[in-house]
Amino acid sequence: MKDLFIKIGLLCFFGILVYGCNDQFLNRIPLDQISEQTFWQSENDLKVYNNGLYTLAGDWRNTDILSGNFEGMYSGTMSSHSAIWRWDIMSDNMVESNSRTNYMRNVRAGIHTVRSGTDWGEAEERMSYGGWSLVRAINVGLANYDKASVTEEVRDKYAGEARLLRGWFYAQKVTHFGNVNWLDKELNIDSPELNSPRTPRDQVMDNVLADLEFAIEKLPNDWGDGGAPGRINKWVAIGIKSRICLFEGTWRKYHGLANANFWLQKSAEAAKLLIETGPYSLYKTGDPSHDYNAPFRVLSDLTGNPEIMYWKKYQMGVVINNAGNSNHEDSATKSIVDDYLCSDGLPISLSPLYKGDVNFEDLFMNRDPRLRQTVLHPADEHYYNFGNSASYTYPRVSGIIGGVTSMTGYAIIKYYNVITATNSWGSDETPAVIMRYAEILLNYAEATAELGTLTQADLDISINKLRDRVGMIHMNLNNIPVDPLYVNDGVSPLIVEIRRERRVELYAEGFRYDDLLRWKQGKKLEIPSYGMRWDAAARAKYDPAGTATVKTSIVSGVEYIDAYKGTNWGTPKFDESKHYFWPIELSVLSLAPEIGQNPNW
Amino acid sequence: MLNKHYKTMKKNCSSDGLFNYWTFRRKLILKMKLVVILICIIGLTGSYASVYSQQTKLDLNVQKTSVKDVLKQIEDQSEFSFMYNASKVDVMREIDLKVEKCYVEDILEKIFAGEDVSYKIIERNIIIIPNNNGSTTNQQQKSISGKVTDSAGGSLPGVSVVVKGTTTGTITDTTGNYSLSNVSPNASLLFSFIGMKTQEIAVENKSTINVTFAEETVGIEEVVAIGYGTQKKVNITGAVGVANAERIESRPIVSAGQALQGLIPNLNVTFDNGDPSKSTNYNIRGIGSINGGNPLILVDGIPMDLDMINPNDILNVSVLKDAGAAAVYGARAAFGVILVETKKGKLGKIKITMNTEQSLVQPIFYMNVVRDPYVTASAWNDAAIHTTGTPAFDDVYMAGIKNWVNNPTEQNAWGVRNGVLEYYGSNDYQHKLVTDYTSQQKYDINISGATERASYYVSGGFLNKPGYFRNKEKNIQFKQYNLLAKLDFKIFDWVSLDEKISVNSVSNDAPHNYNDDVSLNSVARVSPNLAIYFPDLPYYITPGDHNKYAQYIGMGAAIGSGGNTFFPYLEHGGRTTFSTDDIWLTQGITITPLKGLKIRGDFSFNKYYRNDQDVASKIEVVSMNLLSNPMISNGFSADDYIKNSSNKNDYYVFNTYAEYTLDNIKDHYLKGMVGFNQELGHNNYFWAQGKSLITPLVTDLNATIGSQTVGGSKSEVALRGLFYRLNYMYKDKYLLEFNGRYDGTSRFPKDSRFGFFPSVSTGWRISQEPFMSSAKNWLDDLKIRASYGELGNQMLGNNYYPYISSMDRSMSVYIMSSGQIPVISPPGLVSPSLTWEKVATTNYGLDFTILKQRLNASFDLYTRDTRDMLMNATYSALLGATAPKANAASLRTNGYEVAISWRDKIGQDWSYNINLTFSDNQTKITKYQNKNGAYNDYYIGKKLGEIWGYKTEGIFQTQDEVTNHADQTYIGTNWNPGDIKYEDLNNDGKINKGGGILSDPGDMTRIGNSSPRWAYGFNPNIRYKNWTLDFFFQGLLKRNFMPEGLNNNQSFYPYNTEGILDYYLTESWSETNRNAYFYAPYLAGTDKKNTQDQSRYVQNGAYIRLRSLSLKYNLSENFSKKIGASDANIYFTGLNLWEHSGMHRPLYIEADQIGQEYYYQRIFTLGVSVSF
Repeated sequence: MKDLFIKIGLLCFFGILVYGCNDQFLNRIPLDQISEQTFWQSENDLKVYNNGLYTLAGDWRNTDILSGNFEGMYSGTMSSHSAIWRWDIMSDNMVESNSRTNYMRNVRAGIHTVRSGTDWGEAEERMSYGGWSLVRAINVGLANYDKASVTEEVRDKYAGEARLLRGWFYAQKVTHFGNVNWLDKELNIDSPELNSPRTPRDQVMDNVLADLEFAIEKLPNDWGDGGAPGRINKWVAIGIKSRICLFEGTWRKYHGLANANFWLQKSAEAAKLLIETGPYSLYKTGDPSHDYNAPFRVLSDLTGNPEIMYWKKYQMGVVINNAGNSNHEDSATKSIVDDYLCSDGLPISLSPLYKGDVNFEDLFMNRDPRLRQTVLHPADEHYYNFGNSASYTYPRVSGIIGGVTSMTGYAIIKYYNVITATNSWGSDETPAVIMRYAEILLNYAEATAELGTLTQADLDISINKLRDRVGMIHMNLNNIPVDPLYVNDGVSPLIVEIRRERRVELYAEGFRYDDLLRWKQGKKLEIPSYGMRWDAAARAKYDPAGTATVKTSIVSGVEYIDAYKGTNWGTPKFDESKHYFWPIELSVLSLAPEIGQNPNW
Repeated sequence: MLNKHYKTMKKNCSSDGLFNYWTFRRKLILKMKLVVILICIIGLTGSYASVYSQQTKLDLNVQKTSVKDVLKQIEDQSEFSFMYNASKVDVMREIDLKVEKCYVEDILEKIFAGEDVSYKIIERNIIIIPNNNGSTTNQQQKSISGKVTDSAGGSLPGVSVVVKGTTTGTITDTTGNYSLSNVSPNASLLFSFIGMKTQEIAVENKSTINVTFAEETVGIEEVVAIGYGTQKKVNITGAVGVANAERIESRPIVSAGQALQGLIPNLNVTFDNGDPSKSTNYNIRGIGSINGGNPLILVDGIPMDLDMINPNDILNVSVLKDAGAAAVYGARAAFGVILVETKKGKLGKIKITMNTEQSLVQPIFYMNVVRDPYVTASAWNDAAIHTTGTPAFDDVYMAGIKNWVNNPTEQNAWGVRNGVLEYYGSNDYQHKLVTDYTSQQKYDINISGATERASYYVSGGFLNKPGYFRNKEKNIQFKQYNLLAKLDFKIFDWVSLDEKISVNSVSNDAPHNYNDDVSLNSVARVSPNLAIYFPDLPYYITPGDHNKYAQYIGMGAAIGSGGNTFFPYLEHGGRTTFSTDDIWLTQGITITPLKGLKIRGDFSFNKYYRNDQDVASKIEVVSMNLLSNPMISNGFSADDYIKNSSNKNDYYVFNTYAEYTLDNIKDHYLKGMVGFNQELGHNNYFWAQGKSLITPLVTDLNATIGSQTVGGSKSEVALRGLFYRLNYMYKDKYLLEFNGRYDGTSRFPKDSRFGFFPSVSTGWRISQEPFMSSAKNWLDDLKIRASYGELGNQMLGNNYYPYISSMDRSMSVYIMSSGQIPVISPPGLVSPSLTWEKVATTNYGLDFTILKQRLNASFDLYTRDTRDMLMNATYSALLGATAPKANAASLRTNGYEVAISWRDKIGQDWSYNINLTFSDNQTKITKYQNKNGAYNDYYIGKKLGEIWGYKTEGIFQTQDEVTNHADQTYIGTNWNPGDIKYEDLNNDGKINKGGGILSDPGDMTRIGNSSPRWAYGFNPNIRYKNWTLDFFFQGLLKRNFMPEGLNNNQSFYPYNTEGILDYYLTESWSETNRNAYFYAPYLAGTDKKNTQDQSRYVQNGAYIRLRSLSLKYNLSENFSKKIGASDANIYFTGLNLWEHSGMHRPLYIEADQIGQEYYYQRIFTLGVSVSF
């Protein structure tokens, strides 16, 4: 028996050794993942794939086009500071105190630098020459949609969605970098495109236009989702086209490039098409004192608002933002406050109705009603439950103890909602407005004005609609004021007023910085960020304890808060020879030097 | 013949005795219900073994055969062994005998009928004794008796006692006693016991000879586990570190990791913090790969989580450090192997050991938070004035605090201004939250023993380790249960079976972490001036409004937007719990069919379950602003949810190997081993989350009404390897060993799936050379050795399919209509040529034992090259995807290690031993793609652990100094006296980081290195009679640590958190304290200009720590007997009793952060251990 045992034992042992050489055991394939072979079958596959494009486009590290109020998946330093309205920190519209916005304040002051090595703050990634994973995902999709057994119409719907995002992405890159590498197919590590020079602006923009027009043709008017936020429909695509073409047209016009009118024409046509055939209208409830800012103060849901064309939804448990609750003293500048017209349609430099700024409350008297819906009037503290407290005197500036302070004294009320402002970190659902009908009206007015075809009728279907909502006097083509402040801008008084209207209406919606660039008005950024009048009388009235920490400068003989005085941003610079473009970071150039740096960086 | 007796002599163990015994002890251990099951198992094996002679029936049929041969036949047929003195018993007498199915007693009756002999059956040993001593010889014969004990004083049954040169002998009885008659005074007695060194004692004129056996085989006889086998320590040629139970047992440890820290040089054991539910980090010989790479940890040959096993079950630990030792484990052994062997039943009487340890646990809290609110507020004011020119608190507030300090009544603690409650008192946050001491209990029982055919070891352990919260009900609860049963059966002399059942279970229950601001971490963040609860005041704003606010009294206070205290979250918030059950079953078989040949196979099967539940239920906090509307908010808990997740993993391990030893050729010794290993794992994971609890009281997914999401994953991993080892020894002097493995893994593509990993090692035992013979009296052993080998590293974390491109599914956070929706991502780029990282080790070693085995030392010097490390290959960003990793980087680690031990006796009563370990290693990058030369990435020549920062020139003392110094505005603005002065290293007039690259580092330079260097352990142990005193010091001689300065809430830098630590007041710069360590008080906020990484604040992380101190008293035998025990010990041990380092408080030596998540701890333990 022992022998038998031994024989069996040895047999087993050597059997196992031989069996060990069989390789099948080690072939293990993923059990929980999808491969390319099994995907791309149904409409649902295309839809689910395109959902991912929105996620990528919503990631601020790729692009700004859909970045909204903060992407909850990244709890980095950007968290509370990527709200759309904070983009105005880069401009003469807004100041802010948190170091997390330094990179934006650096741009505003012209002291941003070429990023090198890995000394690369998370925040600055937003300004990088990046986002190629979105382009790749789109190109992969476009190469595969054909595989699905769906009708051409269905396929093109998703292809249109993808191309719209590609066009929009590229247009946004062109805004800040000029020439951009155009990629329309998936690359691999050996693709020559990895090391090629940037594609000239003209060619990129032609491709962008082709993408947009394809999308407009193929996208449905309505995705059948009951007007839910999310998918971009044909109308939004048209709106995007009007925005992008306006940018390109004015840029070309003021930066001396060819074909400006072609682009302006495209913009005007798109806007006109929307106005005439689109389903949108301005949000009006007959309450001119609050209709303007009400959509921005909603807690979470903009569904059904006729003016909001495209917005980004936030929802507890899915994705949230911190846009509302982090008070870092964001405040409006004197420059914007002074830009609001008086109720007679004249600028404060001309209007007899202007009461001056000796008394803070006087600022709001006889002014465009949008001012009081943008900047906090002390008497509105109760209406807005500002600071969730009913017992402070406003304005309150930095250093004053208690209440909510601002750097300039001009606390912003346009977005203020007491619930979100006092919510804990990470529980804010404030929706992000990415496109609203008012912009289309302004695009239309500006494009036609730049083309020289603007008529009073054009004004009446655009700007004057905005003014009607807030009970402001109409703009009259025959009676355009000549604001001495802007006589040296090199444009007609009409253009000045249309630009003013845009600045006022779209305040804190992220347009101002890009607008200044395309108008070639970068020099406007050299004006320091002043705040409210802060003379002895104001001090005595608002800061009897003397704890305010604001610094002041004398402007025309009067002492005003100078929000950034004594800091790196105190004396902003704008270098015409280079600041119209952003620099490309060294980490990109070192791996692909052919891409080339922008001029003078 | 004699030899055979040794092998089969085992002690008697009657089942009756066991159960009587059980009844007797019942009350003592009744509570340990687990044991009942174990006892049953033992009972069965006990009875199997004890009735052999009554069960075994034999057939014999002989004619004219000598008694000797008859007895031989009985031995062959059965397991009986006979002992007799052939000169006294006439065994050559021929007899006829025919019996069928007879008991051995009856047969003996027949054989010796009429003979004047008697016989004694002790289990399977039968001793035949002549009754008549026969004719006395000339010499005076005498009787000798005595007792045999082990080193702890316990009696040793079953020891063979034989008169040298004869077959006369006996074995000791169950109490260890023996007696022999008719022994010549000239004779010597040989005492032998399995596994112990035979002792020879001359009889002379003694009539009592007591013998004590050393429990452990020590020194040059030591046998070490080396992976698929054992090797005598003297013959080892690779680098192997060993720790045996003796050294592990002396500490009051709750985890194996704690037991091993500092014991073996270059086995580096670290803990993230004091949390027992966090896993321990093991490293052998320094950083192995930039992608990580941990040692392979095997418990009894199977890969297990060392944290899960009961440290009391560990018998010994071998650490295979170099390729020469580890190559049989191939692709997983690149960074060493830790082999843990658990205890087995020892031949001898059944032994029951019960052990309990009751501990006091003191959190090591290094922060002295100022508790006087006036001092705190004043300090903040000073800092605020220095920073902005205005104070942080106004006069009214300060007066309120002052008033409270002078008269600390509840009334004075509160004020209302502008409708806002102000708190003037001190919240004593830390002491309200964290207890000074918590307890810890550990109970163990093990039962072991062996008969000649079976051995058993069963143990049960329970550990209860609560956390630090003063709130007992809401405290963290960590519990661990361990059960181990090991049974060996020798079914034939040449076949044995072994089974092992190991059940390890851990559970933890802790408060949900809503946010670091409201966790244990808040101790470092919350100021003493913050209100914790809404107060009960006579009135609030106006008299008579008490009723309006009464509803809020006692609720947690919400301060500002989100800045809360932990209390409401702890008291009313949800819990994070998990439970883990890890079950291993092993069946092994060992066959020794031929002399020298051993074949072993074992199959293990693991079921691992882990269930997690995270409940983030809503809590309510109340605003301190009495005019708020609403008053109540949910703080960080607005988004309430329950998340459950479940892991179920199966793992299968199959090992088989055959070993053949050829040692009967003169001067040559040859041993070959070849084997096969296969492992397969299935992982299964799913999670489900439900939002919005109906009520915080019901914490089940079923009771949620919000959105529900689920997810899961599955994966498989398979490994297969063929391995071999060949040992050759010539004249016990020249040693040569080949190890290797051909290994395959499912993680790589088919073509690069297999790798061959060979090693060779060699040794020369110089002490065996004839020319060294003159040194014999002091040199016991001297050996030099060298090894070289190549191993693979397949460490890819949880990436089981790195070479397969798949389209990931995830949930979109971009809302399409409502809720989360699935998205499919484009397929990633993968490398088709992905393969192993290769690790080549060269090792040189020297071992010697001198001075009659008193001094034992071992030195190793090594170089380890890790090649083809996976790194992120960089391509132009336009690629738009994460580039597949390329096998393109290399590093080299150099190091050495020393282990020295000394043991000696002084007189009869004193003995001592000292163990010293010392080790060091450094790692340098030898190949890496870093085109820009960014210094905070790897680059060629980089020593791992480099700290880059500014050089601090000092602190600005005057404004002139600021003006004349290089421009520091790149770091921050508003430079004043009291701020840090950074050195302008590149003399460009600017203080900045340049390009962040080596060629343009700006003013950054290397200011230290965080790698631990020169680690040591020092372990003296002194015995006096029954007392044992054991110290264990452990530490590092060099290490730098850079406190994180660029994030918030680092309490190291003054005024960076809300609390004021005592040293902020004394060590901050001021006009009158110009030599201060820290800059002037400065509200850091988001401006980190003074807390840049810089040379001034690089900490000296060298440390020495009294890791443990243990005083043990072994109760005298008489006393033990009185309580019915064979052995009893009582001991006091302290863990982490003292430490000293150059680190500034509140930094703790082992923490990489000022981790307040779970403090390290001092543990004071009183333990009692009783064996029966």
